Amino acid sequence: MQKVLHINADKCTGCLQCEMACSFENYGTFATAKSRIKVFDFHHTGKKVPYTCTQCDEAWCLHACPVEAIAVDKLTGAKVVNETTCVGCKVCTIACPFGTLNYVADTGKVQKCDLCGGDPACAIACPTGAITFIDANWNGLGRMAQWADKLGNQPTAV
Amino acid sequence: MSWAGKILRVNLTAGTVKSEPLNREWAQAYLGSRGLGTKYLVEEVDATVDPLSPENKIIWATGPLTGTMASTGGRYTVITKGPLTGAIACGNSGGYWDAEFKMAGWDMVIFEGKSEKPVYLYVNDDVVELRDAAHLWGKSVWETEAMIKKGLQDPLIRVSSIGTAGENGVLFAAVVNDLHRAAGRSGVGAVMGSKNLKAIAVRGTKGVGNIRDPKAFMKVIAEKKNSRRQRRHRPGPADLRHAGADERHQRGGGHPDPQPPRQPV
Repeated sequence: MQKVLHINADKCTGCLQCEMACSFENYGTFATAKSRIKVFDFHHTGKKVPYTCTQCDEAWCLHACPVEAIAVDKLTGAKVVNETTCVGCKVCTIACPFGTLNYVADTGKVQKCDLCGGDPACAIACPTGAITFIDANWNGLGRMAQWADKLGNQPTAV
Repeated sequence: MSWAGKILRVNLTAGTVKSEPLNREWAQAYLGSRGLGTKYLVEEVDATVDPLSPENKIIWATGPLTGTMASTGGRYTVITKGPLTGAIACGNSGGYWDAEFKMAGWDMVIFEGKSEKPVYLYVNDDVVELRDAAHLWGKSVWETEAMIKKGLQDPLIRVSSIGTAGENGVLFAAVVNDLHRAAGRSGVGAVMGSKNLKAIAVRGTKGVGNIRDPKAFMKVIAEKKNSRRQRRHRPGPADLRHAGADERHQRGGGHPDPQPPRQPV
């Protein structure tokens, strides 16, 4: 079963555990500056919104790369950057409409979410369930359940 | 313990910034943040100095877990001789500033003396400098944070600063970071203002490492997280309505909560 990251911003408290877990998984240090998932803090509404790569099927980054350094991981469906092939030209960062590929000056390569090989650290770390790793075919299931509850799960008058 | 092992010493009178090794012995004995900062203050400042004079020092201190995934890993303490009581004062705050500061590779910053003109400290990993804050003086913390981010064209900077209360020596003035997190206790903002220090702007990209056994560390964090999750439904003060005059305030419409107050269990 292919799985995807699912984000429910209503549950996010902005604790940055996901960012810390992401950097720890990939760099062995707690550094939010190196995280591949980012939480945005909208002060005027009080909303916190995590955002990361959605792993497009027709991935612009993959098609744009001139050295074919971005490939599909057959197991997880993630679009993964091969750091040995990547030349740091940043064309993929221009091609991505969502901004989720970013250049890392320290390494001279780009980085993006690779779903941690099928067990995303951010989803494990999230204490409120704002980030979950769910069945790709049913990423609307939670919301459907909410509406189903509204529609049919009321006490019936006899 | 994930100490960066370095502290900053800023002399505002001379306008100099120095890096020093962290006193590991004290860090071990006093644990960090409030304890460690207090030890430094007591050792370095004469107990009889006027809190608002240049002889007083003011310290921003993080703890051994700050900047890690550990619970309570997001706090810092401001320690100084307080202007309200003349005793050791410390305000503590959460938010993002603390972790960012630790991730820049520093455990603590000590300010000494008094600047002639308003200044703010800019920390970008190893680049640390005092910058002119004439344009920020007289601004609120919200304006200050926005102006620093815009001026340096870096939206990821975290700012800990004072507003006009601290500038004007209001004795209970707070130090505020990330717009609405306040080290609000005991008037540490007044001491910051007395030194003509407006803000500390931080960008840290190095990260917090130096954990001796990362695997064991992460395991404990996961266990603690789960045990907290299970404890969530135990009755707390909110269920027992033992929060002092809180209930009467709510009944009188003093709270923005539209729900009627719950009855005591």
